Amino acid sequence: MLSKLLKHEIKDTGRIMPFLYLIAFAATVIAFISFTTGINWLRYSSSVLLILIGIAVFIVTLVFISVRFYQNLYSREGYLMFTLPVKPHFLLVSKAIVSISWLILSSIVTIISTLCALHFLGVFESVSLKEIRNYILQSPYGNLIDAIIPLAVFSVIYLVGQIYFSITLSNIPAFHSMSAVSAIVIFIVLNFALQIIDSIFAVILPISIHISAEGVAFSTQTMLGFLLKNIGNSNLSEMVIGLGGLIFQVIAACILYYFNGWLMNKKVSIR
Amino acid sequence: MANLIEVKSLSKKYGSKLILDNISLSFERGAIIGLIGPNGCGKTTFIKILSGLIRDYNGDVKIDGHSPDEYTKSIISYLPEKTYLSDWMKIKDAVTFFADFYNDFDRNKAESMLEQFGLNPEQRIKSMSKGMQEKLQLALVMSRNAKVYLLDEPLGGLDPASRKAMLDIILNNYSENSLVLISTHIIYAVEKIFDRVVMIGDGKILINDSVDYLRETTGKSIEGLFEEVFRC
Repeated sequence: MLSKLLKHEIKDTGRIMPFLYLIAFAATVIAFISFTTGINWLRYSSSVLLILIGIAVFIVTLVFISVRFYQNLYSREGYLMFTLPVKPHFLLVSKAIVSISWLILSSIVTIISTLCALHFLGVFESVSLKEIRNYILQSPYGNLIDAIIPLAVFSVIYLVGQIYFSITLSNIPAFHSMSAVSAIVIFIVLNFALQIIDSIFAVILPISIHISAEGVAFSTQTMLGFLLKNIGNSNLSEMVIGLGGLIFQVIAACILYYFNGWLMNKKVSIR
Repeated sequence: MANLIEVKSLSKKYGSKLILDNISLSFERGAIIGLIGPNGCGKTTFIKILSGLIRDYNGDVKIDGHSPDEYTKSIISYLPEKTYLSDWMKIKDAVTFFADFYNDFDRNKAESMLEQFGLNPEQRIKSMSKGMQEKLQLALVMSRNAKVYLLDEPLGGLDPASRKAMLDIILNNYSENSLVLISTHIIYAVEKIFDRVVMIGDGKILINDSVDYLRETTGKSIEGLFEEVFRC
């Protein structure tokens, strides 16, 4: 049944998403043509427009997946979805997988659009992308470059978890008297609270990465201890970044998805 | 024969308002049951509980021996009072959707009913009137060989000719092994197909008897009885 839900979710969302990418592609072509004309004002304005469209692709995707989750499950379409002979958490899993995939794809489109725009603006004339990459790889942060993609993917999973949880929570009977705006309020409060706890865990848990001229290594030093020890030191040759926040985020993401499924199974009532 | 639906001491509140007040009922297969009562009496809430859409209630609900879950959803064919298909879909997409998720869905039966209603499979749901959408949904729901059919206000937005066609479809497509529960407040149009009537008022069961018995003992039609019970 999960495969059937995935099939229909891809079909439903696939009607809209390619258009966004087509717009980004068209903007890239226009920026490229403007670049080849050599007319500076045209080159600059089309490149800036390309950056804005690239960012808009990600934001529109985020709004689209949120609205779709609400409409398909908690508006009149929910009468069909919640009476399908599938476990409610399969509905959540299918939507999460497809939404996360679209968001990752949109992120790639945003990055490519921005890089193209920077290229058309002439940013890479003095320093190439390859040189930037080599510079980062040779720096103490070089070992962290492999972690960027998994961390970015996890950030998307975590964000979708927060959005979906907020929408589901706003649809339990206790919140029925409030409007759909309650989901936005819940998301803002939830996101703020999670960030505070995340920051506390990051600075107090004795697990961190230690970055120095020798490279990057795991450490049991707390970020708080390091910061207190180096108050007033304006010439830091090393840095400690707490991993407690990341650990908290992983646990929080698991809890958000688990409770979302539980709420859908036990508490949600379609109005 | 064991009851297909067994409800014991069922209560449901919305906030402080009691919608269903400690009701107990049982339904055997092979019957068409009318669930009647004025607007806001709890008919839709009762059907939503049976269909698994409402989970926070008090009491015991068993359908074919199961509390509402994915098994009961697989044997219940539910028609809500709202239109629930995505606007972007074409009629053929909706048929494929049902065929994918319900093992008991009969595509040939659906196509034949669509033809009977004059619905073109290529037509988009967005371009259909509410009445056409209701016909489409009824065709989809009655094309399943389900054990239980829950039809919530199936005649609401239909003209008299379409109502007759709908009743024919319900009569022709249910089997002796299944149970049809129809919630309605348009009684005159539908009472002739009921075997039994459950009348709900203020969240309580006021009448629960066979239609023949009620007609014999009161000398009234079901609509007449309804008017007497709920006289303003």
